[in-house]
Amino acid sequence: MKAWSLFRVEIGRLFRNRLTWLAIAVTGLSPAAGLWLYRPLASSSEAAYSVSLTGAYLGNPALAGGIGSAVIFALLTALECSRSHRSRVDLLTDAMLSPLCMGFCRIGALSLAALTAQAVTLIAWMPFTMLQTGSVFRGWLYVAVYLSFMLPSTLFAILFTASAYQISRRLDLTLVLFAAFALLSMTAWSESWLLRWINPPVYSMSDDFGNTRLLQSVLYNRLFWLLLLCGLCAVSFLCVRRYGKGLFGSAARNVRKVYLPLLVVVCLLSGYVVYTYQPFLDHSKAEIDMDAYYNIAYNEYVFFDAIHVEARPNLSTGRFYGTALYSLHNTSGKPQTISLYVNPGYRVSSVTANQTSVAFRDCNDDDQNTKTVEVDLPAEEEIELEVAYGGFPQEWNLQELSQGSLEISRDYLYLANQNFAPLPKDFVWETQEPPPYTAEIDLPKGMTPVLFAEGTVEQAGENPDGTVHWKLTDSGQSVILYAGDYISHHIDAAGIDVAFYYSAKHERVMRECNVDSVLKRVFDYCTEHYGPLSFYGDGTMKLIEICNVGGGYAAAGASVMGEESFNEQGLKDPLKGAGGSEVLAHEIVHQWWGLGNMFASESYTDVWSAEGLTVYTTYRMMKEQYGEAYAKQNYVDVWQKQVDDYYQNFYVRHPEYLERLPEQYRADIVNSLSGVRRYCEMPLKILKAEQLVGGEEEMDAILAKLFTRELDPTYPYLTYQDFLSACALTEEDLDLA
Amino acid sequence: MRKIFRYELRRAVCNKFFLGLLVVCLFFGWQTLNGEVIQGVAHTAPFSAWSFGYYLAQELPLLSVALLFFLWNVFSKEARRVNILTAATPVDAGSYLLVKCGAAVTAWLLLAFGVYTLGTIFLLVLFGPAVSLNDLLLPALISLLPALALVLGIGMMAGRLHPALLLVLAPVALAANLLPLPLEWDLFGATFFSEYPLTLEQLDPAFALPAAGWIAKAVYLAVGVGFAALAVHLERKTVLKGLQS
Repeated sequence: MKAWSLFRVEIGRLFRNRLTWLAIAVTGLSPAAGLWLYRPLASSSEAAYSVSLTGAYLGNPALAGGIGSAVIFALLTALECSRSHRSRVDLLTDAMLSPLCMGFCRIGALSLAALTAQAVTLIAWMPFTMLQTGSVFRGWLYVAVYLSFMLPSTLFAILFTASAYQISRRLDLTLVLFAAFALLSMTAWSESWLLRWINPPVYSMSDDFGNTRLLQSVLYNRLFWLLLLCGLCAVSFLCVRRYGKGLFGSAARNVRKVYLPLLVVVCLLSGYVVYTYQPFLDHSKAEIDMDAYYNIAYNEYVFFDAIHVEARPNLSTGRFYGTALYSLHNTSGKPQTISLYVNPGYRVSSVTANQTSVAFRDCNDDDQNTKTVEVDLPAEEEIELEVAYGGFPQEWNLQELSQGSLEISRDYLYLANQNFAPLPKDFVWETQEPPPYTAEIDLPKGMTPVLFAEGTVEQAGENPDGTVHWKLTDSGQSVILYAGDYISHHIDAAGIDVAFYYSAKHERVMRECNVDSVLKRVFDYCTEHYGPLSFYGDGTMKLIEICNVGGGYAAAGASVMGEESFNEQGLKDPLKGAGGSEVLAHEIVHQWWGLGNMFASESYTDVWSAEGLTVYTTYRMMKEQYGEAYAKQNYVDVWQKQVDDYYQNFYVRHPEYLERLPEQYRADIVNSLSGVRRYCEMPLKILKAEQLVGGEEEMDAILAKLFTRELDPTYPYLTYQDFLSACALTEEDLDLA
Repeated sequence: MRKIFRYELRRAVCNKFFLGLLVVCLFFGWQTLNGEVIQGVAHTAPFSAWSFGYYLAQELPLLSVALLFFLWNVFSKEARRVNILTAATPVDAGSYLLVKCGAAVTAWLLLAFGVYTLGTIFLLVLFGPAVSLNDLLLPALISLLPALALVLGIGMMAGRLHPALLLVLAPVALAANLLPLPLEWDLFGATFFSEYPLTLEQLDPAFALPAAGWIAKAVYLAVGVGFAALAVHLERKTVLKGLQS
């Protein structure tokens, strides 16, 4: 029988088996586990599991589906591979058909069943995912996530199980080997992004911006395993028993089919190359040496007066190319050597000084996501140094499990400091004011660039290919550039121009939340009551929504907030506010309470956090706006009810039982109660403190003093004790029980 | 009859399907114990009768589906095909059905015992002497038995009418805890165990079922037994009619 006919017969036989259809059905159901049982994406909140809609309804189900389908198809593969041996007809079938050909056809048919299961899963879950994710649903992302997270796990399980069976010829041993292989991925290999074959590392997924960089690293992980497992599979075909011979006797016969050993060598070598030369992460030293970063011997003779960058991102491949022009001033009259920080993924292709090529050296000394490039300068006084560079920007290897931040795609672009252009390492500017930093970049229509801090962007015409040419103007030695489908709102609040940049996908939600008036109210209220933000710019302030989880940062006239602050689920959290606009106000109040060095990194046992003062401030704003009755009903009464409930909790009343529990249970329980403590108990305590210190005005004065306090650089955080001391109260005074 | 019972029981229990059901029930139970019961239900201790009752109530939809599957083995078309043969034997058709359903109930009790044992071991390991096994018996009995009787009775009637109705009943059983019934009439008791203690205005209340709750349980029990008796009676009548014709 010809191979193709045999393949068709095998497909027909497999699809007539009810077990196959059961496997397909269970595979179709397996993503459900990602909704409640297996949720590997990191939560942005400690109080309750909270991730983006895409993460909750696409990422987690696809990852759970990957594990479920891998287990199911491993079982099916093991049963199918052992079928003729278990029925004791293998001697007959081997006499009629080539066992090698039979093995290929079996794996092919099982793979086709896996593809069918994947198609069923895609079709079955699409309406649910569309319904749940609403405006952030993207069809291509839905398909891409399932095909890269789930399908490869299934195919790898088939390849591994078939290989294990063909080598061992024992059903029980095959299943044990598969269990070990799957467990390795989830335990011993869990810290290595490339080795996690069944559960690829996905830290977070974006609703509003891009997931391309994340998908690229997951696909690379899949490529590595595909090569490795194809190699293993080819090895197993060498071991297919023939002519009644044992493992080695059969291998000696099979090795005569030259394509098999060739396939083994090619696949395993390719796998090795793919593993060793992965392009996504740099090779920074594991030990972080901050001294080397700060104690730099600066060149005393070379200064720069301006930097201009021609940026050319390739949004299809995620690569970036550019030409940076540095106006240098060499005061020594002698040749000098200067250093630049470059992203370790970039390669400097040429350096010219006043249009003459000069020598440069790539030190390949990856450290903290930078590497040094040394350039030899001529003795001339005025030098126009042009550096051409580019490549695939690499992320810091320290963050191998949370890849995806350096996105360059049609959805989002984030290029900061040395990722945008080589950064002066050992030379500075000599003027009082930072020198101009300008750049030019072409972006597709609908993609708006935003510069962090006080930099500005200006549209400078359209190109014939439909892209838009932008001019970026900033100052200093580096820029931080974001680009996405940004919408901006300018509001005059607290005497400054506040510009709020957020994704167009949030337009409806923001409109429903009255974003303009909320922003104005929060800025007016907080500036008046607590003081201006330390990072206000020169009469302007930018608030930028970015593709990130885990808070934001602020400096020099700008503040960025992770998109999780605006996700639709979060805006419905009753503990943060009585409605979407009030929750939005809560998130913006975090600009005063919660940014940078305001609070120490939170642990689940610590009830003092940014949330207490933020919720209290939101309450005060709503009291001022809607009156006392409204604020009491929607804030104080809600806190009181939650706190009453909390004090009745069995473990709160009997902490001795909590102590008795194993650490994991204890942490889970304390964690589950921490939300109430932070969002309800602490605001009630602050409210009680307000009464004890003499009223709202007195409390405002205390909070304003705390907000504008002089920071101790060794421990710049606002502690609970600082708060109590400022109120002249003790912990016992604020006891609510 | 004892031989038939033993045979039917072995048929129900000694197979991969029963083992699979047991694994699923234990896994679900483990999740419930780790997720909700460990926190303590309605501010009571995790090892209180209320929390334990809640645990069993959460398991009951799954256990009910298992019972419906056991009944499927009794009423499916394949199983009914041997009726012509059994009708020709001197065995009373009603008693025969009763024995087969008795075997299904016994298999179900084994599953329920597995779930019960998992719960008690979990609590004993974590809380040791604070757990009173005697206190856990009453909530177990009042949640398991009426539910068993009702699902059995309705299942037997449904299976007699048409075996496919058993499959229709399965999702109904799964959703039973979501039915907006008054607290005392809560079929499996998840809402009752988690909300009734909060109405007692007393912390750590001793386990007690209100009068309305006893009435509800008695009604469920009676309805279940009534339906089961009716199913047996109808079976007897049908077979007799078949023999006469």
